[in-house]
Amino acid sequence: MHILLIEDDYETGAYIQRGLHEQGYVVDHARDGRDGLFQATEVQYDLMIIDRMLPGLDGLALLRALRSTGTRTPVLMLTALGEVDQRVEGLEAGADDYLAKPFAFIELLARINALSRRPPLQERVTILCLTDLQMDRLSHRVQRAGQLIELQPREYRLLEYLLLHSGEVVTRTMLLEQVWDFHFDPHTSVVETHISRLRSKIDRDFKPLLLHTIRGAGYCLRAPG
Amino acid sequence: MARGTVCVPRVELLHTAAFRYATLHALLFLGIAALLASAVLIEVRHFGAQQMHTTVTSMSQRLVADPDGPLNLAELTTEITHRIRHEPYGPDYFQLRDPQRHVLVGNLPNRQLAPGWHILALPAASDHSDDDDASAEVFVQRLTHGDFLTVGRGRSQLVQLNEVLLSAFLTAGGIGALLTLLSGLLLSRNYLHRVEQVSENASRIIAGDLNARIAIADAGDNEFGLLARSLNTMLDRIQTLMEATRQVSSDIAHDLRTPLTHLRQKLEIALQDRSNAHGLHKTLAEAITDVDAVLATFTALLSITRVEARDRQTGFTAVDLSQLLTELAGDYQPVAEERGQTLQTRIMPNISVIGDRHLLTQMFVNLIENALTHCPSRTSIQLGLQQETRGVVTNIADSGPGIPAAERQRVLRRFYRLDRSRATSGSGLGLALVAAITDLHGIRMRLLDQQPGLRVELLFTVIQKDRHDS
Repeated sequence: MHILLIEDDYETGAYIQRGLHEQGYVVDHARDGRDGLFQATEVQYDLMIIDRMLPGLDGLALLRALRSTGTRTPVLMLTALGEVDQRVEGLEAGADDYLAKPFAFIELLARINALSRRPPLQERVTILCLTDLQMDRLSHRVQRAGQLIELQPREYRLLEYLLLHSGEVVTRTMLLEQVWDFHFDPHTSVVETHISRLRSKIDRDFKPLLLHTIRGAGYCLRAPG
Repeated sequence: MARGTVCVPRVELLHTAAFRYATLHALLFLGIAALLASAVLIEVRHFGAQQMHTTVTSMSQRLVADPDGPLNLAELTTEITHRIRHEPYGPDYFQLRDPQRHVLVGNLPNRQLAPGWHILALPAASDHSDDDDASAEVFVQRLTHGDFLTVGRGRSQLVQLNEVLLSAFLTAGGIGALLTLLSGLLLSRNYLHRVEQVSENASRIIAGDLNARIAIADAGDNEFGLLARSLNTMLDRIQTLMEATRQVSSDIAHDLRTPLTHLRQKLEIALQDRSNAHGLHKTLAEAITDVDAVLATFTALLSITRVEARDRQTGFTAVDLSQLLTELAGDYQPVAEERGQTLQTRIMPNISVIGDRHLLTQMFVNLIENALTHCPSRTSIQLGLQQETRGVVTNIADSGPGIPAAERQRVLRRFYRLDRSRATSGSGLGLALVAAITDLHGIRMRLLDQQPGLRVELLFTVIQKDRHDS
């Protein structure tokens, strides 16, 4: 996969480039907005990581310029200490996701994976399933092995998100943002508690286990094999 | 520029705005006075001329038409001679000529005049007045027997009246303009003095004396008092903010020194202990956790600053508080259960307020998590929402240890932590953020004693909206 990284800070840029390279990605690194825009229009990238504050051309302006040329490449925007209002601005400019610095590398990786695998129009699929686990998004019914499972509203949304990203690692922050709409870090184990409740409902009485905890990274809903 | 030598440029008295206005007013006054004077003079002149005509007409009529019948030439001559004997130099003038225009009798200079009105210059000596250009208004008529009768009256009185009026106007106008200028000067000196007081205080503040205030005592209730009071209020606010900033800076330094010191110690030990690869890995993991804690503190501080700096109510929308609290209760009931606590709700349906949804969410999460983390197990937490006559009220109450009355205001400050809470995790910023969010939304927050426990009451006063309205 070919990624364009537009980041003016040398250290951060090198850190991201090295990390992604180890994961097998090919990364081009542009150091300012103008170079970035030039490269983005010259080469067909699979994904772009754009810093919000850039010399030459601001990240938001760059993104708007890119989107106005009809480029649909997924964009992950980076910012120093993200705030909700800035995040909204970034998303409105055409970013697909938004990540605040400093971040754990695993967080960046999880988001890149989520973005690059996002199949078009999947949001509108009415039946989501993974092996014998099935979710009907019209009737809001969830079954495993034909057995109806009662879920609380938040557990339902949590499972829906996990199913939409099945096979991918999703981080705690991604869950907080996407499932809870919390753009801050709660001090209690609200995510862990709901994961454990969901796990007891969909996994305890069934085989194989589907909901996995990935140590130091997050969670992954996947079928064995 | 060195501290203490900051100076504010002084304004010259004659360059003050007040003096300029006074000058302008003096000019305006003069203009109006001149206009008034011209109008009066014109009217007076017109009136005087009319009076003159009337007088002269009636004089000549009386001469010609005596009650005993028209006078003949001889009688007329006698009458005129009689009259001018007493007053040869006016103010009444007469002249009688025969049809050949020879002067028969009179005290007027010999001039050929056609019948009608004329203004006749008089020889200087012929008039009492020292007026050089003495003149008379004369009426010439031809009598039935062909003689010419000229009757006139001296204009010196009229001219004198005009002159007196003109000089009166000039004197009054001059004095008025002078007085206006003088009062303008005094006024501007007074204004300048007060403005200088304000700017002197300002320069003291610029020089670093934040305690300086503008004296109000002599200004009283006038506009200067008002200005001084509002400036002082502004200075109070600035001072409070400056002190808060100073406080926060030292708090940050103090609060971050501890974790950073720990981090440094760990790293130093790891550096010395080269043999143990597993230990090194563990230390690095711990170091990242420590740094994350420091970063979390920074993020929390930044969030508070952002909320405090935000424009009031921009980007506010209707937020269904009933739904929000029900969802949060659903999220935190399992968390409470896991901690051996209970979370109970009494939430009235369909209550909405205007606000920032994300911030309100964070505010309630902070309050709920505060109750959960500061209360031991087997305590219960109540979450309530109701519409009261005074507004929408939410309550987050617990049966935990509560907060001593003396400390209730202090817990809202950044980094403030009760002694017994020091052992628990947390930055001491949670309630400070809640306070910033309530300020932004105009929510009145009260920390009340639940006996035992703490009850946080939030009253949405400024803006609220019933869902059925929208």
